[in-house]
Amino acid sequence: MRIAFTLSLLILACFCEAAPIPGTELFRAPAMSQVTFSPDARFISALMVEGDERRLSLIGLDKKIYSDILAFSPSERLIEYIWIDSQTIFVEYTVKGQTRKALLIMSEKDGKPHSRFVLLPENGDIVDTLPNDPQHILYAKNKYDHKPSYRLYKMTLDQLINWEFKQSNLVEKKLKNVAIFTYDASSNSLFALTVDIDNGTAKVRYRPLNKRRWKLLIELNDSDTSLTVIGFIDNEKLAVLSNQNTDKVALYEFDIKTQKIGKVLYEHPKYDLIGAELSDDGDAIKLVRYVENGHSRSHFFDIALSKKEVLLSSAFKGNKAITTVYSSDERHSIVFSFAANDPGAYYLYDKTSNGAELLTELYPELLNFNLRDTEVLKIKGASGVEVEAYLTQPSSEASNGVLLVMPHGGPIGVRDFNYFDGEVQYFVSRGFTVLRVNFRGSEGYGKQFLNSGKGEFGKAIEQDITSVVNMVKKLHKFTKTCAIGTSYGGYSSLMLAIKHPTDYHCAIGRYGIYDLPLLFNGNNLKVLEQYRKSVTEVVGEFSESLTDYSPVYLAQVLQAPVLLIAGRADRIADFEHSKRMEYVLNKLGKQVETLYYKNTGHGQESWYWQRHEVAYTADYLRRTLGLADYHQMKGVDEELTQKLAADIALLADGYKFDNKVENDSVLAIKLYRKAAVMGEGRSAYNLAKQLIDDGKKLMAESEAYVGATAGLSSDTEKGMNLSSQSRDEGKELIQEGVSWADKSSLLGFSSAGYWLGLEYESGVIVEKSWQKSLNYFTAAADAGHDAKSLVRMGRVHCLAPAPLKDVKRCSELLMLTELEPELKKNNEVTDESRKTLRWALADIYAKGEFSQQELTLLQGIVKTEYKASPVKIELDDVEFGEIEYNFRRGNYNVTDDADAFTGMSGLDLGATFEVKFECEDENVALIGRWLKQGSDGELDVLASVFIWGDHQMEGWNVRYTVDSTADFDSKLILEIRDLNNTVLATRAVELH
Amino acid sequence: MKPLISLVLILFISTLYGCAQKIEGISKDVDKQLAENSGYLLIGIDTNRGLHQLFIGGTKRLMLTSKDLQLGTNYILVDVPAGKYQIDDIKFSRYSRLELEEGYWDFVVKPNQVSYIGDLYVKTSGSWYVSSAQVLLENRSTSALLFLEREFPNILNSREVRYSGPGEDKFFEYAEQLSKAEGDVL
Repeated sequence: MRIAFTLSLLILACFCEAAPIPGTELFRAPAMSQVTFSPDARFISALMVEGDERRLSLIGLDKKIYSDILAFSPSERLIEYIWIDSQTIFVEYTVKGQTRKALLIMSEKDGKPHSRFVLLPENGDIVDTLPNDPQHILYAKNKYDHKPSYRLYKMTLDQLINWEFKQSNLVEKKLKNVAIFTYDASSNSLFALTVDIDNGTAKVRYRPLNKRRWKLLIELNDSDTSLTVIGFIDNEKLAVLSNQNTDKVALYEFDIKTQKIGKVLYEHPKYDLIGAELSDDGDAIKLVRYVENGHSRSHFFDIALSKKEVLLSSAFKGNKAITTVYSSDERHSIVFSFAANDPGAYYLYDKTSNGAELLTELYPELLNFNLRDTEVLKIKGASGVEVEAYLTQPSSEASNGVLLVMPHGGPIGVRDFNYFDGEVQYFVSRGFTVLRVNFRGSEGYGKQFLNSGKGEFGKAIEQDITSVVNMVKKLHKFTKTCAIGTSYGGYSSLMLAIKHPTDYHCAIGRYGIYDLPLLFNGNNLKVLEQYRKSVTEVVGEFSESLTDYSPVYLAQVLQAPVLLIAGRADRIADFEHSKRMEYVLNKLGKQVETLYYKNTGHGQESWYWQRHEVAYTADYLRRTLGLADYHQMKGVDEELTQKLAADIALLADGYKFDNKVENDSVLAIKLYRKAAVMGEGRSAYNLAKQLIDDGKKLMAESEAYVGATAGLSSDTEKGMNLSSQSRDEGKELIQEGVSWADKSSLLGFSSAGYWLGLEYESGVIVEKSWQKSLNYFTAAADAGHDAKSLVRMGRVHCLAPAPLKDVKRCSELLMLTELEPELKKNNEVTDESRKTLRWALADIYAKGEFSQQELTLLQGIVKTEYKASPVKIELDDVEFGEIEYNFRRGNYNVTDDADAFTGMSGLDLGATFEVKFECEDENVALIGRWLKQGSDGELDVLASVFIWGDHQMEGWNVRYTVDSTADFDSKLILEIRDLNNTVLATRAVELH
Repeated sequence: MKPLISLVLILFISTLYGCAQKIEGISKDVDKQLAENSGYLLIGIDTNRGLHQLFIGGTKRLMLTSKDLQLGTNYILVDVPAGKYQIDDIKFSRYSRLELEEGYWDFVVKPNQVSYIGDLYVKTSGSWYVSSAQVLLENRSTSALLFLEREFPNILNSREVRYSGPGEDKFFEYAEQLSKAEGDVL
């Protein structure tokens, strides 16, 4: 019993506060999934997720060292992987939704596994690795793109790697319409599923691998009766799950020859079976599975298995524990433990030591939160039918007194389970009580129960829900009740609020249906007989009386405010349903709010938008029910407040950026402000930028008004006052923006620091300050901004007056290739950083004054970064004037060498030249310095450029584009200098 | 259910449609006297690429042109002879057209009323040429009604609007009652 002792310590270690869980912790990929063993039992393999990074990793069973063998980019998703042998893995993944398949060929270097990536055809799949024939695999490849047409090959791995299908053994090509091939090694049997899409039928055939003749195993059609094959009882009989002759899905015999269901082997008195296992020889049932109280349960007929299950579950203290996979040597196994209030954890069980070791929690961060358990209720309503429901309550101190009734979708053949549910925990952690009901029509309780929900939209189904709600309200006190559901659940939520107008304080329909006749008339496919037949079976006959049960036509009695969430591209619950509901509610003067997502179908597919939707819903509930902010709940500290602010920022981002939500700058700024106040750095920065943009706009409008009214009569006085007011408001907005940017920088948002550094450098919206500029660039660098921030810091040290001037420090910061290890780690050197470095070097040379010692330090930077030495250089064939790129020759040419140009905005000026120097192995570098000389004779540096190259380089040039803001009445001078600041060439041109 | 693609056939040949009458959506909200046995046809076009032409056959052969078939969502209100019609073809360019399978694209224009026949949803793949297309005639009555309320309030006030696309739908009648009730209250 050592296993029990070890694990109980782990479980007791979790004691946490009842506090709102940020969406980022619940709506994300689990830390570990797809866990299995390598065939040689040396490694555990799994998909590991850390932040935004997803990797296929190996974990050595000896030292538990993790090695990544495949990293996925943000646009890639792993679907599944299969070990072919101990050196080869078949991987199926998607790139931007498109399926890709590949092999990973493993090798070991310095004791660490490495892998080589080989792409495979997208229309093929591994059928079996043929353990009894290690030289070959079974591989199926679809012949036609848009229909099932698999052919089966027996081939070597080399043949697969080289796509040598013609050289391979084509095991099966005659059988048509094959959708799936499978192989059972123990019986050496090959199975093929063929489908007839037009007639809605499918056949499973089988044959020994080395024979040609197929035998029919079973024929399937789309009738009401379910049929799932479990395995062979003997050569003539199968064990199948079916509800053909019983109310519940039961385990039956099936005669292969007559294709008829035989005697019942096992039927549960209350629940449909969802699985079963037979003994290896098919003689005995090992176990059957069903869902009881919302959890999968196994009933064992094999006493040894039963004891093992009991032992395992007792070790995990009430959590369900299942063994997911065994290693090939049977020494190790992976155990997954989970519960309604525990998303689960993977353990490695070692048979030798009889101990289990935690591999990882699926959501480690959730250990910091008090996840709530779920109570299973069984209630008989007025109809006398017993329904099962799941009630999840917050702790008494966290409760906000609101009951959320959450009907499931479907409604027929769908159900709620009592497993961990991220959305339920999200709301419960915010103080809501969540009630889910498996009303009539739900799956798992037998055919009669399932069928009794058909055609009961707005009738028996909502009666069942109401019976449970009434019972729960007798047991617990609630101040408010809201209904919230998706798809059918959205319909049901509105119908509950319509049928019981005084009982519900809000109703939220997500991707819902609200006009039942429209289900038959949504588009020109939905009017077809076949489609209408399938709708009729669930909803009832199409008739005008369906309007009597449609929220669109019953909205007059609604009292509760309504939130409608929908996908504009939803073709299951057509978007028109939500539009109609909104239209009618508006016409009737009811309170309705909408959240319509662009490019979205029947729900959100990404974690990001799931987070957005749930955050919006929680915010709606808070606003509509007059609840306190969630971050004001007991137990929320500063750190958690910041994390909760990220949910608010997510909503603001929706309104701000070009994405699935319609932009709304007013709401964006309001939400950014809220998140900024809560300490979210990025929001403070976005708020700052928006305020400054608005401020600049007001000031520009004010200036434009002054310009337009200059010299006009006194009736513009009022206008001038308004203009002055706008200017003052603009200034205030800019000041407020700067202070929010400062707060953002203090909160550690590096972009804010970098941006403020630039602003204090340019002096446009704030007073120029070298010191402040340096401080903010330093803050940005400390917060992990890329190495641009270091370059900017270095530039300040090179160009600022004493005491900030420190060319040695400047040179340390600009030598990006030789940064201190700590800086290199914290401040990534990107292409953008290198571009900034080139600009900074040119600027420093163009604007700075340096002693010889300081120049030597600068030359050291250029030497380190560009391998360029300050050798003697001569320029030859210098041409200067208007410059143009010659596409035929691939270089720049001076096309007009006039001494003066008149009023030409966008004029490209430049020089082309040859560079001559000794030291053939070295590079050289030059600085082009563009100066403007006004009528007063003063010189201003307009721009500068840093160029470098080697002996072989041709087409040296320096260019400058005269922009529309340039003062044309001046002289423009180009100086070309070397690294010793020696002027090598000077040219000038008059601009008028 | 029949897959979408089976209802259409993309052809890369040019066909002459000399006999189709070019029609253009009306732009002024003036409910003019309609010719005898005529009505207003209201159709929505929701397309991810600008279309070249749309051909409608039946009582009279009609053709919408690229002016009314821009990328995005657009509604077209036009007066036509009452009668039975069907959408025949969509031309993406001079050389590429999509032939719609008969029987799935039928509608009726009734005299003296606005007949909304649905939104033609066209989603194409391919950049230079159309390699495949999803096409549906969707019932988006509410958007159509909002369009009329916004752009053609006079015509809406003086004509009944009815759904005349595939299937049956009484939503416009219901919306009319709501508007009347709203008017009574005001």
